[in-house]
Amino acid sequence: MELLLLFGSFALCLLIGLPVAFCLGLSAVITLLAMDISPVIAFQRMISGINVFALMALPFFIYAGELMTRGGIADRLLRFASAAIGSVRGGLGLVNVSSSMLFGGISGSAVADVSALGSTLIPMMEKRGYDRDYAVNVTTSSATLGLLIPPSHNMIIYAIAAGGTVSIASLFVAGLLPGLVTGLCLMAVAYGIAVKRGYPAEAFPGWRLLFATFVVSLPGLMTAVIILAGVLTGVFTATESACIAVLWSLLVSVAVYRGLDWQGFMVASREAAKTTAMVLLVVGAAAAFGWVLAVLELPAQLAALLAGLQDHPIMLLLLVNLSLLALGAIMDMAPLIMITTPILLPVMEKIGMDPVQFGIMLILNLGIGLLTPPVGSVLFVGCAIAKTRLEDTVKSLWPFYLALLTALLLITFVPAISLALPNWLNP
Amino acid sequence: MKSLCERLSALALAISTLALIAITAIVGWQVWARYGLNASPSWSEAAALLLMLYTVLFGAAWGVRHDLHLGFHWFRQRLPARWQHHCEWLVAVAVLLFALLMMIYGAQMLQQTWRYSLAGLPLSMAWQYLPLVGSGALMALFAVEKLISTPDEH
Repeated sequence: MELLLLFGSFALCLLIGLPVAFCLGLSAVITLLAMDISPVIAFQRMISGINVFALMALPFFIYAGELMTRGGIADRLLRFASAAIGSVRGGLGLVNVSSSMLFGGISGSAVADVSALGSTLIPMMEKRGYDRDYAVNVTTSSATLGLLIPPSHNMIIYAIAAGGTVSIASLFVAGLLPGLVTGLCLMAVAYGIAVKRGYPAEAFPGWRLLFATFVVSLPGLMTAVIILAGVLTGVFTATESACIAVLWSLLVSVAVYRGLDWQGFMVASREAAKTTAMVLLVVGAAAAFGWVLAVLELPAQLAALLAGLQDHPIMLLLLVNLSLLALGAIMDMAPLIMITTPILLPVMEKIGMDPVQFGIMLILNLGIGLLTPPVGSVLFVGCAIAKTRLEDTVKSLWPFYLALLTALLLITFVPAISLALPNWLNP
Repeated sequence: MKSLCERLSALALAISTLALIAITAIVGWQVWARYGLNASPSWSEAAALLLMLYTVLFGAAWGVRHDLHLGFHWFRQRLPARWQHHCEWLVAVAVLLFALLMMIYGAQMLQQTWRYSLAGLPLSMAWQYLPLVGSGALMALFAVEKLISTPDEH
């Protein structure tokens, strides 16, 4: 009964367009009142849900991403990728995917990827004769790579939702290969369509220029290296490495690339503060919501329900993936990670799935949701940048969608893709 | 009313931004102190955590006025215009309700904890709950502003 009230009030609030954070908080408060528990606990949970040192890595990643985006790193990476593989047929499509892989390693956010790379790449591709729908589809689908390739702030949210049993270092390392696999799937599709539609190839600029573009983008790429090395060696915590990444990107943007003045710095800081507030308010509200869920013993009940499927792990995995895809289509990533992890993780562990692999699967799955209407923030940003209608691009999105689903299946059923690297490095 | 809200929301964003910059400086100092000075400060982590609440809650208040919070608008946009107005009005009421609850229960916790001090900082624990009250008050004000400015068919 209380469960019905919790989800019913949540759904109702969501449908009338109340922001997700308020839906979560309000439905938690209403349910607590019905259960005769003082709602003060909901606000305590909200505060303690935000007040987590590991969670602080998230604002730092967002901040570093803002500084890098405004400081000119995206353009340098683009030039490097373009020099490296632009000379293949449909080269700019492949350049798009590979820049997302490089930039994803720095920004860690799919929306940042689309806005930073898309605003340069989409017009550039159109000028070279690519169709607009293709340009948008390559840009938006490859933006999901930023979620997998470390550092990814969604992995921090997952690590916290999993209750601190999963190390952030393992998750970061684990994301590398799946990011690569997904990138290759997307490149195959991008190449196939480019050949079919007869898109041009760029001229190879020569080895000297290739090397030069690499050297120029090196300081930007160092951001990811600093974070990974710091976390892996255990010299810094994830939060501290993320903070150093902010200071480093500030240094690179101001002193090396000279793309950031005082005003730019303040704009980047403000934007980072806004994004941080929006994401972490949801995380805090989801902590309150999750507490009510735990009091109502939903995770245990659902686990018991799904236990019947334990003998059919393949069915169970497909079922979980399908429900996550459906949820991802209507809700944003952060609240879904917070809500679904405590419910699904115990079940997945029972059928022998490693929590690290589940995290990677969850994040790619919900990342695909960012491309799925009705709520597909990455798709919306991509269309807004290209000034095109959603309906026109979605029609030709399906091959890319298929590539992402293929990658999702590979990651779901081949544990080694996610686990080989962390097991080898044993962080 | 409008210019007051404008100024207050700018203030909220300024608090949020300054807190974020301060957090970065504090954690950066913590790392430097540990490796450069060989002395880990005992206060840095607690201070950064406290400031994070200011970044999030005051930034969130700004977000209420500027409609930046993540939400699901697909369904609402498919309703007839009249119903859309009703929904917008309901959303503002719901935000107002939640903001008032934030204030009330935030104030309650503020009262209960002001005698205790935060671990690692010479500050009262009440500082932790103050942004809940402050942000709640701002959100409530911005929700009222929305309610007033919608056409008076309600």
